Amino acid sequence: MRIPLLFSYLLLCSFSSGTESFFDRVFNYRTMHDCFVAVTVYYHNDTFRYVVENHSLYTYMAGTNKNKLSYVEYRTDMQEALQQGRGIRTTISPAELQTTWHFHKVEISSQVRTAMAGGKEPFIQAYFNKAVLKSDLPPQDRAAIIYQLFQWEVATLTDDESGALIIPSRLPSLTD
Amino acid sequence: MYNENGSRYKGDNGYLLQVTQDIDLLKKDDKELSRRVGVLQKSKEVHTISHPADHGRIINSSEPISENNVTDRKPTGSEVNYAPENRISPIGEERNPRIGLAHDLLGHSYDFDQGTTRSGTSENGVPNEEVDAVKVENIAGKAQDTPEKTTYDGKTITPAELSAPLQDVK
Repeated sequence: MRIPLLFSYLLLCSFSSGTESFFDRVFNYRTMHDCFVAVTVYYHNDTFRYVVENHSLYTYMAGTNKNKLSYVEYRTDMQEALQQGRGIRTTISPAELQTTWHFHKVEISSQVRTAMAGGKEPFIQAYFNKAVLKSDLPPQDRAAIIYQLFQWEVATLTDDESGALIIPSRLPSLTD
Repeated sequence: MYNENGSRYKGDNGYLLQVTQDIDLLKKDDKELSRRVGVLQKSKEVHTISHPADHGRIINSSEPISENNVTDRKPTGSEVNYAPENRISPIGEERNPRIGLAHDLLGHSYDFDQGTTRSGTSENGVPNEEVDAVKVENIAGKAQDTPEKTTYDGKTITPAELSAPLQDVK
């Protein structure tokens, strides 16, 4: 393990502030468990809504050759598309998007729709214990909750240690 | 602890010293954990550990250097984010910080290093790679009388899955 020199180097890096923008947080790339992105997908004449982890979306967009689409290009294009309300067109079936590319289809239940009508803060209070998604929710509501929070520019990701969905901006900072 | 040029490290970098101490304690916690540390130390792959805050993050994680290698079950290095001062997990559970290090470094990073990351999910829908990391985490937890972890994302990991041998225990 090349610990010592790398540690010394990393300590020179500045500590991040808590002021990063929504899209900075969403596109803070990791190869596992980075933030979810909510995307509209056009498949033939149908339109679907999905949530997908950022690294999985990049992998899907780049295909098998990431040299053809750099992460910077992907981020620029995707952020612009999201901000303009555009989606992505695909010839891949919804089933394959879910099983092969780890997209999660959004289906908004009546309960979630009712909670959405109450606004952002009550919605978060209804579904989260502080920063952590309550564990007794129907699994199918998870994607809808992620989707709606994304619309309110609240980023979410999966905590690797527990597997829970969390709102990282609402966790206490380690540098506090 | 040694510098990259082989000389003994004599510095006073607090983070480095704390992480090294935690790795040493994991080695003392259990034979299998000690063996895994040894495998990583001798590996050709590079595994770096740094504080999550250095990357604008606040939770532990392990990231493979090559996603493709993970998919193809080939060895790859990793970047581990570890906060040794954090005794409370993101979901609010108190645990010794090095249990989290065991999950990421000796669970995920070890599997990345060996090309043994399992795809797919368990009976209850827990990713198999997380089942394996939880099992390693439980080895560290057992040494500290921490209750065995039996769920991931609220989903049960069955006793059979928890007691199955790790993929490549030698």
